[in-house]
Amino acid sequence: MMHERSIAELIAARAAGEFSAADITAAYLDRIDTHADTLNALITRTDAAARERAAALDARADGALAGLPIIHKDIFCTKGVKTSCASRMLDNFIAPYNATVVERLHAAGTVTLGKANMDEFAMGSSNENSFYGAVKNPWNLDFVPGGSSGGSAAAVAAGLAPAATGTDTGGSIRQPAAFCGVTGIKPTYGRVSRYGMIAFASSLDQGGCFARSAEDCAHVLTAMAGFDERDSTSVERDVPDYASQLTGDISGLTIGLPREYFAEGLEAGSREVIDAAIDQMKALGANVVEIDMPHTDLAVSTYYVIAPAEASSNLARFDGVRYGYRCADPVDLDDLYTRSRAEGFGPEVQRRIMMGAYVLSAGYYDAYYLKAQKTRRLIAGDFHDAFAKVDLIAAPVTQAPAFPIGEKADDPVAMYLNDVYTLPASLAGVPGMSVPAGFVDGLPVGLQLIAPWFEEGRLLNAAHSYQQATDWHTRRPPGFE
Amino acid sequence: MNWEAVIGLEVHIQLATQSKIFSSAPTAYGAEPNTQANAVDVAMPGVLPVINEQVIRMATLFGLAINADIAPRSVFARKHYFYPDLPKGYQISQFELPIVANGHLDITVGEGATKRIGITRAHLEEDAGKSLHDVFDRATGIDLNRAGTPLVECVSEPEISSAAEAAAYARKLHSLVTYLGICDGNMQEGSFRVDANVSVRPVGSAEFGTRTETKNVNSFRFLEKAIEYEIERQIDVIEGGGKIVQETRLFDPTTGETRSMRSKEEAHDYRYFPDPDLLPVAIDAAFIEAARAELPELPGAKAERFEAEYGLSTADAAALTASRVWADYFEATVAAAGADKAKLGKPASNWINTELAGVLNRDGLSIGEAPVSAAQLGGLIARVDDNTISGKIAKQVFDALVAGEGESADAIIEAKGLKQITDSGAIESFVDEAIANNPDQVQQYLDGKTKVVGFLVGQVMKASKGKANPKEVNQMMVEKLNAMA
Amino acid sequence: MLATGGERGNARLVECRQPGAHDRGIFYATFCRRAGMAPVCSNPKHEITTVSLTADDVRKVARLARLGLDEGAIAEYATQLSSILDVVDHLETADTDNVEPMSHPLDLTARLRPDVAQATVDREAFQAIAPDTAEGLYRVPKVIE
Repeated sequence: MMHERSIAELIAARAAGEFSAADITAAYLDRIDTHADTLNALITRTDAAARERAAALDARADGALAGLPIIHKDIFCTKGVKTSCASRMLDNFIAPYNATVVERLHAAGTVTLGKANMDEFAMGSSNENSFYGAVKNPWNLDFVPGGSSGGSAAAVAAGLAPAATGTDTGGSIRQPAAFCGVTGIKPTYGRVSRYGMIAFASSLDQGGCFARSAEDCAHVLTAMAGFDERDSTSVERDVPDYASQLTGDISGLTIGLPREYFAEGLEAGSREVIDAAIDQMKALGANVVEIDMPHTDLAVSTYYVIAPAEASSNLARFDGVRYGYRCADPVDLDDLYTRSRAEGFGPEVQRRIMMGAYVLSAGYYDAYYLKAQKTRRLIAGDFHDAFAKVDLIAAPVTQAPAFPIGEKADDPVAMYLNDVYTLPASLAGVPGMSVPAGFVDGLPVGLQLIAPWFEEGRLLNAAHSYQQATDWHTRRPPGFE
Repeated sequence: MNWEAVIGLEVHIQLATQSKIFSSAPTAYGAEPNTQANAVDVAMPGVLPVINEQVIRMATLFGLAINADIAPRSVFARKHYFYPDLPKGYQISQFELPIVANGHLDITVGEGATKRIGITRAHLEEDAGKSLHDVFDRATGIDLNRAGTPLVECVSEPEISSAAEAAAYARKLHSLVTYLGICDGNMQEGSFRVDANVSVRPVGSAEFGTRTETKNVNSFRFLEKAIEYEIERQIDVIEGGGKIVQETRLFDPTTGETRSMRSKEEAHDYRYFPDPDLLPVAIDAAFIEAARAELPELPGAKAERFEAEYGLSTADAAALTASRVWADYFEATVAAAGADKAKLGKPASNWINTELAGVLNRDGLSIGEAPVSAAQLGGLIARVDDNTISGKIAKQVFDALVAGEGESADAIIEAKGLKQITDSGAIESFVDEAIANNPDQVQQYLDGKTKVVGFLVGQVMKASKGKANPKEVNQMMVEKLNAMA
Repeated sequence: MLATGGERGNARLVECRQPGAHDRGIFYATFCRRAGMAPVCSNPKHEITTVSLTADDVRKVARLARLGLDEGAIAEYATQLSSILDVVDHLETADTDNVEPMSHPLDLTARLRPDVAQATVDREAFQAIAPDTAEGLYRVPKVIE
């Protein structure tokens, strides 16, 4: 079956003339026909454009990923295609340009199948905050797929595409990857251009990808990453061919286990899965040591000051004047603003906008925003200290597997606490992954691996080595085989 | 009671860059609406700002020219408010760490006295777009062409004490930024915008009064009028038992008055924070030294040099150096006139400050639009200097140049036959003719009324159509008359 | 709005439960969290409950953010934002003396762009997705100045 193949196999088989890009695209569009509505994973399908693109690639193939179908999170601007960020605010927004990520992948020869559902403006950990409705977890349709890149994760898990893009601000790639049993990587902040990626929290947002394996992620990330002069925070640094760094050998690598990530809160079932995964890493020759990251407990409060502050500012441009939603018959300018924004943004987005405006407002700035910038440095310092001793950090991604849809929908704080293990790496800007490591009650559990800044190659190789010895990443949800 | 005014000026200086401060869209004035606003300027979702190097260089030049500190590390911050011509819902500006701080400008107050006005800070920011209220009956139109144009906001200390000082400060600053080539100085197009913070207090009081901010002043004359009006108004209000309200006021050039701008102004809470899309700007010593090497000669230094090199009076040197274009015109004129700067400077200064200035003033032209080029004027001065023509004829030639009647002074002199007569034989016959035709005046001279020689010389000049060299005529006339005695 | 405390002290919005004991029932109580103190009323005998954010505060930030909310939404957001602030208040436990604020994950400085203008504005494409334009201008309800 086409969707069983790895990215390298697909590219090779097509190069060998076993089948065409059009065949690959058709096969995946069939799967989308069958499964996409069940999962509500896509906001927009681009079938016709995909077929046309595949045919064009067959006529004149170039690029390392020529003919590879891909799904983009609907946060990446796609020229001429609706780019909604899962918000009513942008329900009518046809982007007039491509995000750099979209451009780079296009240049590598990918075929865009559609735009993935997500939490509105990437704010959420369950994909319940979408104007287009909740995404379902393919492993159990009553459960959330995680968020905010839930549509991307669910699509890859269900075999609707070999790969999908995502963004991670506080865990939005790693957590849904864990919940859906796929491999996901959030690179170092600055590694992937943010141009054309609709901003949530500028100092935290980082584009990445989902695929079935670390090896597949390596191929996609090599094409996505790199310096972009249109993004001031993009780093001028060569991107290695990550696939060539997959030696499959981690003997001698020192892996740190932060005590704070294994303390109270981590559910027993998940703990067993993670422990087993770590034992597997040891068996592969890694040295495992316990480490301390004493400021981990500050991550949630730090994040929920900084991210909303930046979001409240970034979302000020959605005012109903130049594009996007405008309320009906505004009586005056004030009415236009207040109604367009109240009607255009969902409740979670409104909460964060107000939270952000509050922590930045006169008299509160020092106590909240400035304080959080200082605690952020303490958290980043933990990583500096840790990476002086270890090559890699291993930890759980979440305290427990996916939860039922609706369970935490009315309790923002419970939802926020869900991100406790993914926030620190986001605040520090280091690269992190979620690697499928087992199941609890039929729901996937992810192992989180974190590497020093710009060591994506080391990170992917560790995950790849683990996946060479295990088969968790090859499992398919029942009904989506 | 005696009152004194306390004035501080905030000047927005538009930087003369090719592209905008954070986007590559062009900055040209007067384009079709929204044709110079790219995705960054329109604040499309997902687009990002990238800092223009030229903006940093220009701000550094400015900082050096006002003897200020250039921040080794400065930070852009977001200033939030909602307005339709502010597309992002925030303006990228600088707040805690501006690029330039602690500078000063010396202004001339009265004859020869100078006063130092402190400049608290000068920070970089982006301009907003324009709201057009008169295009549609029931709608306001938004043109974002200006959005993202680079500005330096230069904030003075409240050390200015009168409307005249304020105008002198603004003129000096205007002269400086045009000298530096960082601003085109066009006040009508808004390239140099002055807001005046004005308060009054009893003379000798240490406390400041409540201040108002007057906006929309687009000429130095209006600035002076607006501040004069505002000082008077504030004194009237206080002496009438009233209180000054801290507010923004608008100057109306037609009435010469200021009026309150907003009735229901909301309290602002700008929620400044460092822009996470931009990294801190680092300026190292090498960058500063490179900028210093590019600094042109500034007005003060140039005026001193003009006095020394061209033998000009302090007043003339100051007038010529007030604008870089005038100063350049002057130097080019002298260079075209000849090698002797000390000798030619004074006549060149006179021609420019009186005749040329008169023409420009009459026709409403700027020096850049002068109908007579520096080369043409220099050529004219050279012909006076070498006695080819007299001063009087020179005026005729100048008028002909203004009227475009010839390519050069020489061409006009040639075409009109204006060359001075220095041939003594020719002069002698004119002199003899005058003596023969005016016996009464000759007799008066012989009777001791020697002043009458002027009349006789005048007759010669008339007869020669002004071309006889008046000095030679005078000399020969006196010799001949004395010989008759 | 009053400011909360600085590095060492802390202030907490509290409501005194003693009816009619103060001009304003809701006020800030300062206390030192690091010393393990809890906020108390100016009269320590009075019972207090802590509030993080009042409906008024929500009204103010909603106004700043131009979100037109009805009273029901304001009350609900006040409760939710208060509980979020309770989590955020944990920041107070951190000793951040002599810690530089971190505004960016990578300690880099700005890369500057050459001053080259590119005339690439496609007004038609931009305005095709605008809610209301005419004569090349974006339109909003008339602003009276």
